[in-house]
Parts: sequence; structure tokens; C-alpha cells
Amino acid sequence: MYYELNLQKLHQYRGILYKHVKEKEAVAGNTLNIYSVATRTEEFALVVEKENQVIRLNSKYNPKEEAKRWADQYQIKNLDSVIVMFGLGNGIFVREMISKMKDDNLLIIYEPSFELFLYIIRNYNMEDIIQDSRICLFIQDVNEFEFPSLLYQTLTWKNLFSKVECVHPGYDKLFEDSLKVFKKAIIDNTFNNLIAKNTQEEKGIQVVKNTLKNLVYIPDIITIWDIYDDLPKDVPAIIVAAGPSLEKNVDVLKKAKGKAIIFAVDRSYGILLDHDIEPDFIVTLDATKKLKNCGNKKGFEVPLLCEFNSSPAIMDNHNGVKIIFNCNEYIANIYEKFEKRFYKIGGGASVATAAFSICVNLGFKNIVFVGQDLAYLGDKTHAGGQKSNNNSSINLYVEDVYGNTVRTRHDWYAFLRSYENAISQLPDTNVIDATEGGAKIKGTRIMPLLEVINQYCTKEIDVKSIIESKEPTFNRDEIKEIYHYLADGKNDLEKIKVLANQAIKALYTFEINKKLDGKKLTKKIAKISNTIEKMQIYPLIDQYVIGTSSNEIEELYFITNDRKTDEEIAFKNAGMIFKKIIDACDFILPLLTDTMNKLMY
Amino acid sequence: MEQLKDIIINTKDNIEQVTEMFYQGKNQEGFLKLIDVIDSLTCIVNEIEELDKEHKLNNETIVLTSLLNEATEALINKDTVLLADILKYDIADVIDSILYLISEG
Repeated sequence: MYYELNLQKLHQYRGILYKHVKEKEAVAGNTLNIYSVATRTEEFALVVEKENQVIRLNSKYNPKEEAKRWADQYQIKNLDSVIVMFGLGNGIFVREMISKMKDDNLLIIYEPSFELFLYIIRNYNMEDIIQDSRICLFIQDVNEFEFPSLLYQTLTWKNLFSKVECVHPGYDKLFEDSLKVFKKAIIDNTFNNLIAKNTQEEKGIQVVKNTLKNLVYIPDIITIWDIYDDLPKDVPAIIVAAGPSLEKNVDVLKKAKGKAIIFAVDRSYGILLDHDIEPDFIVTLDATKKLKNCGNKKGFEVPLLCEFNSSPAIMDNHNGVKIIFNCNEYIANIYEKFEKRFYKIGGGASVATAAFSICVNLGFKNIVFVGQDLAYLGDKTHAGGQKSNNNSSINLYVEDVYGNTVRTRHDWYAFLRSYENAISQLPDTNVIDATEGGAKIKGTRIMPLLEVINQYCTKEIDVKSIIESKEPTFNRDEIKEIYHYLADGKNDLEKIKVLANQAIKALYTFEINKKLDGKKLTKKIAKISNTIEKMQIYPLIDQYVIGTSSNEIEELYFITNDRKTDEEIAFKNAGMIFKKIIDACDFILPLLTDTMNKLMY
Repeated sequence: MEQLKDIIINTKDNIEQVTEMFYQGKNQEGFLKLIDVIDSLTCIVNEIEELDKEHKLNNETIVLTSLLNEATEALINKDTVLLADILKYDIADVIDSILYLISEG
């Protein structure tokens, strides 16, 4: 009845979802008996029969009143609040939720049954829901693989605690297993975001410092995009992590040398050196990584895949080619300015997940994990007999590669889920787990390393000569222009300090004279903030401020609905943040000057 | 009669609460509160039998008993939404009309 109209709206407003729906429509399941019954209020109630169970998804008396009562229990009051809802139903409950939403809210709907979704779009007018840009829609077996990454992008540490989680009545009884998956994705997202927040808090300032220090290497560096076309995609990429199982099969890796591309994550480099294996690349990520945790070899020459803010202890002791795989916005703008091929890649939270992301982005069709335990082996945490010293970690238990249960840590658990989410989005990539132990990573094929080498390592490859043949990304003239870009940044810092001081003064004047107009001040502060945010140096300032004031930023998202109180909280936190912006300028200025001096010579 | 009126008013409040709980998926709490509602409804039926010597409320008693059977069936099927619907729209209506009739004398 409404099928054509709904499809047309899907096509118009949700093109990718429309494409997926059309592709999968013919193979949709047929396990449910779905029908609608008239209600006393002359609407329709949705009824689903599954395994001899009859579940009505709406009141057959007054569905709107039922939905209103149901929605009354949820309060959406904070800025950027995200509502995560399990089940689309016939739209009656969704509409009640929408009626409570403001423009900055987002409603993420996870529909666990494609079969039910098809029935709904055939029998109910869903036009308004489809075209509402505040709604994201995920349908199991259609596009649910995008659900975790959207959660990660929208439900961050800033608004995590303003989240509203709800289940469409009846869906909990019909789709119990899917509900578990849905809830697990939300819990995993909370884990990942809290880890990300901790990392930003712990390392925010260090990241700014490293970025500025590492800028001195810009005349010689290349990026992964410079080597993208030169690396054959059919050769296996072996990622060697330093999990305790690495000791079992590290020597087998020798057979892969020259027939696969070996990526050693920083900590595993030392183990490989002990076994006379030279990897093709070393991957490093951590802003504070020590050389002793990356081979402990001064002047090492193996090509280094690094972020622009990787630890200077590693960067400064490395004499080979540095290959950038990620950077913050400040550096990314330089690549954009000179029209260099550069895309920021999502790396996950660990160096191993970053190595995986690099391999995926380089387009390898066969990616092999070695030493990727993501679990304890007895009480060992890493190869080389290292034991846990992370007393604050939470123990969790997951399935291992043999189907038993194995102990893991909350950070490894987050990495495990990060892999699984990524793999689920890579239907054309063959991901093999040749760790021979540790946690089971869903979506990988489990194989012993020797078997992998015999089956896949059949072609010779000389990575060294490929890398040595590359010219730096920027030529000498471009480096001169980059110098000017940095000089402009120095000028911006002075301007930002003036603006931030103006904001602080205005906030102070308001504080001592409460009769002043709060709305006027809000406008003034917003104008100053917008001017600062447009400056090219701002991404570094932002990183510094997040690293030092995440709690104040978090508080800016909470509102009480009492205008006076909200103003007071917002102004108080804004004042703190502007002070931090001035601190950031004072912190960045000498580092930037030093780098510019070094670049000149 | 005054006591019956009080029971009915109190029952209506309880029905509102139970309905709210079931519509909001708070089934555990809903079932606990439902015990009070069932007790009150049984009490209403008993009181009517005791007080309604002229059988003015015969019709209402029959409807109420029949609705209680429907509610019991919904309860057995764990269909909390239907249970809430019956309570909110049907049973509440019947006890409203009982209240009206006894107030009229």
C-alpha cells in the first residue's frame, strides 16, 4: 500500500540504505507471520507470530496513548543527546520519541528483522521517519555492520551519560538474541569511548608537543599513500603483535621473509630481533613509547610507519624512512593545502589495530595476525615472559580460538571488538588469525602460521627497494611554503590570546554584575569561539584543551532546563576553557618557534 | 456504600499506575502492583454481592467478572499490553459506571 512511497523516500533521503534494501529484498527471510489488526481508535496494531508465540507490538485499544505513556518515562534534556532504540515497529512509538526530541538530538534505531522492516514499509506510511535527518536507521542483515561505528562517532565521552536507551515494546520478547547483540554494542562503545577519553586526557598535551617536534622530519617523510600503488595487494600482509603466543611460532616467520610483507608492531620488534628476523615495517603509535619497548636499537633503519605525533624517543632514534599513516587536523591541512594524496585513517586504540587499519587501507587482500592474543597466557601478557603490571585493568572472560574460555583485560576486550567491527565491514578481505592461541576474533579464519605460509606466501617481494625508491612527499619549495604556514600559525597564537582574554573579561564582567543580559554574552562568546575555531592552528589548541579540560567540556553538554543555572554553569566552564586556550598558546609558541628554527637549517 | 466508593476510587488509581508500568515495560513492578488491583476488584465484586440486594448492579458484575477472565487470560499469555488495555479501558469503565450507579443511589 505504502511501499512505493516509502521506497521513493528511502531512495531520496537514504540512498545507500535504499540500495542495500533493494539488493537484499529477494533473499529476506520468511520466518515470521506478520499482520495488522484494527484498533478501537481506528489505527492499526502490528502483530507478529513467531514460534507459536503471538506478540502484539501495539495496544489494540489506543496505540498512541500507549506510546505516549511509554515515551513519558524517558527524559531527553541534555545537548547532543543520543537516543538508541531497539525496534522500529510501525512508527507509533518512534513518533512519540521524535516529539520529545530537539534539533540537536539524534535517534538511532536498530531494527532486528529485515522481514518485519519489509512488512512495515509495505503497510505503513513511514515517510516522515525516513526523511527525518535526526534519525539513523540500521536493519539487521542489511546495514547493521555500520551500527558500531556510528555509535562510536556520535555517542562519545562528551555525551555518553546523556544517552537514552530504549526498547520498542514487544521486541524484547521477539528478538531476544538480537537485543543482546544491540546491548553489547552499546556497552562496547562505552568501553571504547572511555578508553579514548583516558588516552586524550593522558596524552593530549604530549600529542601536541610531539606533533610540533616531529615537524622537523617533514622534509624527508613519505606517507602510506605514497607507497599505496607500489605494494602488490595479493601478497599477504602479516601483522606481528607481541602477545605471549608469539613465542610459539616466531621462528616460522623466517619462512615468510621476502614472500609476505611483515609489519611488526613496535613491541614485537625486539622479539623479532632476538630471532634474527627483520620485518619490512615497524608500526608505532603511542605518543610516549620508550625505545626499550620498540627493539631498543638506536639508529634502527627498518621503515617506520608512524603517526605524526608518535613518540620522539622512537622517531629521534630511527635512521630509516618514516612513513606517516595518520596525523591531526593541523598537519592534515598541510597535505590538503599542497594537494597531496592523504586520507586520515581510523586506527582504533592500539598499535596493532592501527597496523590492521594500515593494511586494510593499503588494500591487502590477505591479512594475517601473529602474536595477536588479546588475552592472557597463564599470567603472561606479552611474549618474552612479561607479566601484567596493569593493576587497574578489569578482568573479563571471552571465547578463545579453541572454543574454551580465556581471561582478557578490558582494554584488550575493546581492541577485540574493534577488530570484529572492522572485519565485519570487510567482506572482500581474507583475515587470518595465525596466533595459535588467545581470544577468538570473530570474522577471522583460524590457521597455523606454517599452513598460511605454505598456502599464501608464493610470490617474491622486495619491500626494501620499493621504499628506497620513493622521493619525500614534499619538495624543497614546498618545505619553504610550509615554513610560512607555521609562521602564520605563530601569528594566530597571538590573535587567539587576545580573543580569549576578551572572552574572559566579558565573562568576569557578567559574573560581578548579574543584571547583565546572559543572551548577549552568549552571542559574544559564541562569536569569539567561532573566530578562534577557524584559525589554522586551532586543531592543536583543541587537542591541548581536551587533554586538560575534558570534564569542563563534558559539563557543557549537561543542561538543567533552568536558564539561569544553565547559563551559570556554561559561563563558568567557558571561562576555564578560555584560560586553557591561553595556556595552550603559551605552550605551543616556544615549540613552534624551535621547530621553525630547525627547519630553516 | 461509602466504603465501596472508597475502594473503587482507590482501585482506579491503582489501575492507572499498573497501566503506566506495563506500557513502560516495567513488568516486574507492574505485576507487584497488579496484586493490589486484583484484590481490590475481588473486594468490589464481594461488596456488591453483599450490598446490592435489589440486583441493580447485576449487569456490571457480570461484565466485570467476564473482563476479569479476559484479564486473567492476558496474564497467562504474559501479554502485559493487552492486560493494561483491559484494565485501563474496560475494567476502569465498568467500575466507573458502578461508582455512578451507587452514587445515584
